[in-house]
Amino acid sequence: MVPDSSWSQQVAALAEEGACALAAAPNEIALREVYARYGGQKGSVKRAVSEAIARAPKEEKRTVGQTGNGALERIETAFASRLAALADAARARDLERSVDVTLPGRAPRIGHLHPITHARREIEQIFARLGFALATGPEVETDFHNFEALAIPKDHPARDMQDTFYLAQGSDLLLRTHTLPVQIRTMLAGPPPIRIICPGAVYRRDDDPTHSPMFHQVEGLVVEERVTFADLKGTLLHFCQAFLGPATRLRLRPSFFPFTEPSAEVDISCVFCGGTGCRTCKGGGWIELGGAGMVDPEVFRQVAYDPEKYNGFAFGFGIDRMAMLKYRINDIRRLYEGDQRLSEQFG
Amino acid sequence: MKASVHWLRELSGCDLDAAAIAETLTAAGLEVEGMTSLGAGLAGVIAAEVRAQRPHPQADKLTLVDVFDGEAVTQVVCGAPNVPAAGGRVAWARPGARLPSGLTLTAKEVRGVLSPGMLCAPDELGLSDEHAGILILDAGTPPGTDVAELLQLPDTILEVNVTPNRPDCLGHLGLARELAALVPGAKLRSLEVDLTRWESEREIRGLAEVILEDPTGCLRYTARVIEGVTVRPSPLPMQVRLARLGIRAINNIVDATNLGLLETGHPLHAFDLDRLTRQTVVVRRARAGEKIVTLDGQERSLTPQDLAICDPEWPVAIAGVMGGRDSEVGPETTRILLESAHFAPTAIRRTAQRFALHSEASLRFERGTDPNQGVALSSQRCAVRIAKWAGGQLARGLIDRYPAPVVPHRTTLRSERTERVLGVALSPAEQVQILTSLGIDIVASDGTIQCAVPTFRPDLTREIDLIEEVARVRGYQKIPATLPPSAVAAERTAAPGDLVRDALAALGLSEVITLAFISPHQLARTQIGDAVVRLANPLREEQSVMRPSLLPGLLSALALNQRQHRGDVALFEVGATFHPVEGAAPREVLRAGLVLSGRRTGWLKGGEPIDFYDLKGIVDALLTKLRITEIAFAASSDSPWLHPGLAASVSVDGRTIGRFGELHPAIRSTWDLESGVFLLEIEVAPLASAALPRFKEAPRFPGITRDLSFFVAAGIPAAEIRSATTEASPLLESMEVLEDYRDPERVPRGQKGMLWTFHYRASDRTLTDEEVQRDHTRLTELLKTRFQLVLR
Ligand SMILES: [Zn+2]
Repeated sequence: MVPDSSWSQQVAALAEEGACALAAAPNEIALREVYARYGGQKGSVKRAVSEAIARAPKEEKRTVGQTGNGALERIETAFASRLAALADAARARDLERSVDVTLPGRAPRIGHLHPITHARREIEQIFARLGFALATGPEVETDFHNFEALAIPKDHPARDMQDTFYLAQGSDLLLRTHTLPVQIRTMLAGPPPIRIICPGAVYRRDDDPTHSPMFHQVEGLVVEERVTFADLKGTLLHFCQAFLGPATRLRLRPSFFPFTEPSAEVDISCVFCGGTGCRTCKGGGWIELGGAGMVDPEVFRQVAYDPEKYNGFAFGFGIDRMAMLKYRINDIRRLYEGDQRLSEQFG
Repeated sequence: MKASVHWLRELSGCDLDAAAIAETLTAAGLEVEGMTSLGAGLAGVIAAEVRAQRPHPQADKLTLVDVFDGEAVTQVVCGAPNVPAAGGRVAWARPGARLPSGLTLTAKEVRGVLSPGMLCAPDELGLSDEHAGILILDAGTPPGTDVAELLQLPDTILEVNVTPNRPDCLGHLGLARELAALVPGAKLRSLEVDLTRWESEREIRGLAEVILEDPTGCLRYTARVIEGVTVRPSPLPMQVRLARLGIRAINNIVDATNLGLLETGHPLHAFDLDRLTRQTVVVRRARAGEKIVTLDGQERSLTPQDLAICDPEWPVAIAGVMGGRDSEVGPETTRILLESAHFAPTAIRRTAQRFALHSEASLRFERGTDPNQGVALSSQRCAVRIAKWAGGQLARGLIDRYPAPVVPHRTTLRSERTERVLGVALSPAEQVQILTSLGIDIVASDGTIQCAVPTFRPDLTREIDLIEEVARVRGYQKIPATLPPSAVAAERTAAPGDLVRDALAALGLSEVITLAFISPHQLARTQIGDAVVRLANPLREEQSVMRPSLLPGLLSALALNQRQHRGDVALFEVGATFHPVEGAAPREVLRAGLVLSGRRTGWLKGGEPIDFYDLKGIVDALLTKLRITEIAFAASSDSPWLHPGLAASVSVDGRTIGRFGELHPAIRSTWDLESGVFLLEIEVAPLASAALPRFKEAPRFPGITRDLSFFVAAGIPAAEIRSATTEASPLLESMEVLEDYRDPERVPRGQKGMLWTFHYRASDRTLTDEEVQRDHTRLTELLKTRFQLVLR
């Protein structure tokens, strides 16, 4: 019997058993369980080594100790290599995952603004850069603010041009037919200089693919000591090019509005054909945008401004129409149906 | 108004083609909205006299016609049923002639007989669509006359949009005056006529009488008398001209008045003088109860507001609007009283509107006619035409009742003012030249230009009107484009409501804009019983009230989207609502409304149905986003449109500013909506008033969390429990409800189970378990006493 070699053999056999068990561990949890059994200060290998050292004759203790250290090291190495192998295998499995990138994402619900809101804001921003402040007012107006103050008295033929909704409660109250009353209210509220735009809903008794009984307009007013018809022309040109693109051309045609003099119809080169003529512009190459002109002295008289001291210009056009031109919407009634699919197209 | 380019060229001496004339007028503010070309390409067709006719030997329906062109007689084959007897005049397209269709005629055999060209029907000449027979020319037409010239072909009819301020352009003369001013080289033709050639020895005095009783309604009334007329069709060229301009030819007398109206823009009326009692015209307001049968055969009751042309017994015409049947010119008429007058626009307008009688005449009187040249010139020209066409003679003189003649308006233009308004410098000479070209008399020009504005331009009364004329005739396109002097940036540039729009869009809702007038029926269906603002003249009943709430519009939009098979709907609108105020204008309130229905968004539609707390979550997030903190929610039972158990109100400072909840199931079924529908309506103004945020340092020391699970009476709202805890511990930072469950297997009757979690934190140190436990125990005891909760 050779006691020392027998102790050594026992320790070595235990280490061999442990190393095999570690190498066979199927996953990290199992691996750590096996390691806890064999390895570390409380493991069976350490216990066996300590026992062997204790029992070995004095002169052999050193050899037994060396053998024992080798056994412990064997367990640590087997654990570490298995741990690394398991991690490699896990990463390799992870790298096998793949997705169909063409399937839709799990998105939060996205909200959308109405195209009229988009157009209105862009218009507001363009004019804000030119120093125009925003002004708003009521949609139910008095006959005075909507007509009389604009030099359109009761029997005036210009009232034929816009059919008005009146309130049942009294013929003096009506739904504003333009946002000009906001200009009147602004002028009545204080002295020049004034540089405002007034966007908002307006109402006229019309209903067909190009007219909705409610629609949106933006009107602008400048009253200063030195503004001219040329400035009006430049302001409109700047706006149209900023909103519809730098190739847009502007044409002013003489017209008649009771509240401006000189007055103009504002045409722009057709956004569809660029001015060569198409169905939308009826072959003429121009599209009617709105009206404009120098504020009539009669209007200044109504708001007690001195027409000798101040000049003013005003303009107005449909926000709906601008949105329709910009986004190529062909029927104005689509704007007011409430179909969610309309706004969704506008980000 | 319809205008003939042929006629305009004749009057203005302008030789531009139709397209250039249209462009010129449009650029001057007389917008040409449509153009119709007539007889373009017609050449070589002549008038021919029928000498004889005989049947075609081979064909029943064809005729062989001998025609004489002034030099020779030729046989032509004709297929029309209306070949006139010998002596009649027809339009013969000889070989070589060209028709508007593009056809060039040749001699060709028709069923074995050679036909050199053909006899033309109106449509073949491009005159009209008519093809029932060949065109018969006036009997006296000399053979060989060029038919194109005779029929004023080719021609183009312009549809001119004349703005209400330009009554002068409701006649060819006015448009021609514009062209003469605008087109270099053009010159307006004088329309003065020499009456003496057509006058008899008889004085008008004694033949007729005019009594003007209402000089306010009728500024001027003139009458001429033409005796010995024969009423018959007017000459073909004149019938053609009228037809082209949309007026049916009637007889030579009426046609002459209509042609006068189209020419000068001044309406005329012809009476049968012998059908006027005592040959007297009285111009007065109608008497109550007076009746007249107008030319259209309708009997109309007049009122003292209506201006009437009467004889000494009764009304014979509604002044300026329509003639009476009993004084109408007919086949028996031999003596004419020709009226040319100026009526006050407002009087005519009121009467025309009341009878809904908008005639060519009333349109012009309403806009304002010229009491001087308009009245005089059109009367003279019409009288001559009648004499010429009806074979009569003018009685000498004119009855002219014009108690207060209108003189040309004097206005001064400071030439430098033009630059101040237009932004472009123009010499005084250039301005004078432009004004003169428009028929304005320049009285003096010494720095200021003193003008006498003819009465056919009632729109030019002020300096600014003259500046516009200068700009207009010179051309707007010649005015440069400049920007106004730069200004400081505007203070206010965001529209009210835009903050709320952005917040709601960020929360996943899409904006709609619906009409502000809604159906009273829909309102009732939604049980919104608010008082409403009604329209006096809605387009239709479904759009007859101004919305007192955004919800009916949103529900309509929801219904539309559901019909389009869009189950998952999240919409909002920001807009005004309207609320009547006794004896004043309605109050307008800017509100935001939203509607949710369907499922939470999930991948491939795996989501759960939306419930009350989805809506509440949006309300919370909206208020957080807008930094509105001082808000109170309460169960609300006073909205009949909401489910009584799922209805809440939102208040700020004790005032309710909005309500939300699930749509009442009964209303949902009347609207025929699918699945649960959740609604919010809230005022915008209180949401836009948040104070500027102030930065607070985020806590740096860790906090400690304690949970509390208990049963409590089901009726106690979470907000009450929450507010009871706020004073319980200075260390309590926040709390939240993790669970609220009411299933009977787990919870005692009348109770609900809740799980809360409380977060404790100090800003200056790390808390110890002991101090948190002490405070949490105190809080627990407080809740137990206050709400009798049973800990689990
Ligand atoms: Zn085009």
